[in-house]
Amino acid sequence: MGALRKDNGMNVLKSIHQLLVRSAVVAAVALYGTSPAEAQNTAMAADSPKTNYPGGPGSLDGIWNAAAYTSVRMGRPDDQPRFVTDEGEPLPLLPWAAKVVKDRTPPGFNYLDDSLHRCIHRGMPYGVSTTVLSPLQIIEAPQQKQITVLFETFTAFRIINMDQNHPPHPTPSYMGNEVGHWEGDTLVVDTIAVSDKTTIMSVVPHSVNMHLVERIRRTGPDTMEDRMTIDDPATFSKPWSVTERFKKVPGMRMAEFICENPE
Amino acid sequence: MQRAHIDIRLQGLAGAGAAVVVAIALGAGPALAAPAGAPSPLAGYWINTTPRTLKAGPVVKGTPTFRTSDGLLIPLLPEVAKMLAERRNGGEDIVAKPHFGADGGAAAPAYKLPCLTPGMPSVAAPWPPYPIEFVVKPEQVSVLLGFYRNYRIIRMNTDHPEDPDPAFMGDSIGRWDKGTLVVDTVAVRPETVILGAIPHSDQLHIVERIRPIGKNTLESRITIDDPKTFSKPWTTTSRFKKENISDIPDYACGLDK
Repeated sequence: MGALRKDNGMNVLKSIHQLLVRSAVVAAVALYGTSPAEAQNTAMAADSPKTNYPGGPGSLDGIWNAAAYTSVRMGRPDDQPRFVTDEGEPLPLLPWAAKVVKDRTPPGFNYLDDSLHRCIHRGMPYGVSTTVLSPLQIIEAPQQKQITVLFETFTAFRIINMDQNHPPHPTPSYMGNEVGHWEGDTLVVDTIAVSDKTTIMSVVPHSVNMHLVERIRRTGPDTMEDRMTIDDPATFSKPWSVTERFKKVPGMRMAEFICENPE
Repeated sequence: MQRAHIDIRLQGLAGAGAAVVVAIALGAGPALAAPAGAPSPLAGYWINTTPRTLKAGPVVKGTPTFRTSDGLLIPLLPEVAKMLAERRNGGEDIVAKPHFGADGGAAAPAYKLPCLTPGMPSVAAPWPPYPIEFVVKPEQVSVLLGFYRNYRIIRMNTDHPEDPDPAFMGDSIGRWDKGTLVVDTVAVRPETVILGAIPHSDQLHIVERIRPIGKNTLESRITIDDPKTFSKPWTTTSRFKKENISDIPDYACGLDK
């Protein structure tokens, strides 16, 4: 005890710090009914993008921006688009789909001249495409069994219902019907019933039977990836994957983006 | 573990925190499984059950009057009331449309683009009652709107920026007043209208007080304040009922046909 008395001040400071953290967590639990761990994760996620890594529930909260153009590139304005999967292969388009893409990308096609300018919502999976460069915000709300993704583009959103099955016959919609669950540090999102009026990367068609599986996880203190696997035997000869990469930019805020230039 | 004596007293104060500490110690943080807490009473999907549109009233002391369809006299400044009456007398159907945009935007002559969200304050009590969902977190409450499938962000326990960019949804900050969510909105773009027809100035200031009544009802008291449009602030009350749905459907505008 004699030795401890010399360190009394430091121990008290440390304990006060611990008390404050615990109190904040307790307050969060009392006010919002969060679980202790979730409350702590929320308090920490709001403060620092470099926490909550390596990952798992609570690690995806925050505002994310495109880290880089992805391997599925649209090409330069004076170029034909080149589509490349994670494995470096061209998209396995069935002949009808390849023709559609060719018809939609005449010489001089500029990928910017697409649905963005016609104020058409993108839906999935284009919505998470990093060619957009607009931020998105992931909000984990486990008490509501939901993860919400807010897009700056068109002020659109996705609702991912956690730990649930798809309903028996979901009506096709732009974002599709999305359910998710955690596998260790990875959020697995399963999407079906995406309206065939949405596209992949603006020009690639898909059928209403497309099955999209995303594996989303933290890859570093301020980075995240979304590895998407697209399975649609009516459009592609085999499933294929592309990975979108995101990072946190300090001080980034979501801006309103209501499209005002309808065609 | 040895601790200073003052630490023991603090531990006593934080008695409730002990279980929290144990949970964190055992659960190793973010990798914990499903949380045990109950959701906020505001969480979930809701439908507005209070229809409200604009109605023309009689001329009183030389000034046209306008009421809400549920009888509240709107305290319009005389020049605004006269302007609305002139538009109506000029053949414009300003009172029939509950919101701007559903019919191609004919209600507000200044802004006629279709497929444009009516923004605030209309989406605070949407009519027609497309579903809304509150996603409640300590630092942010998000309101997912069936109307144009957009969202509002309410930043909690903070201030408006010094010079906010005007937005259709405005800039919203919020705080909890016991169980009531109090939302303060400024910087609403001038293109939005109130009750489908009343224009507003850059001084528009909207306060919502949203609280649960029982398990399946929310009440939202919405106070509108704009000294360049109204002679005094005025408050309407809307009720929402809980909806047992699990998604917000597409809104049939802004989508490829």
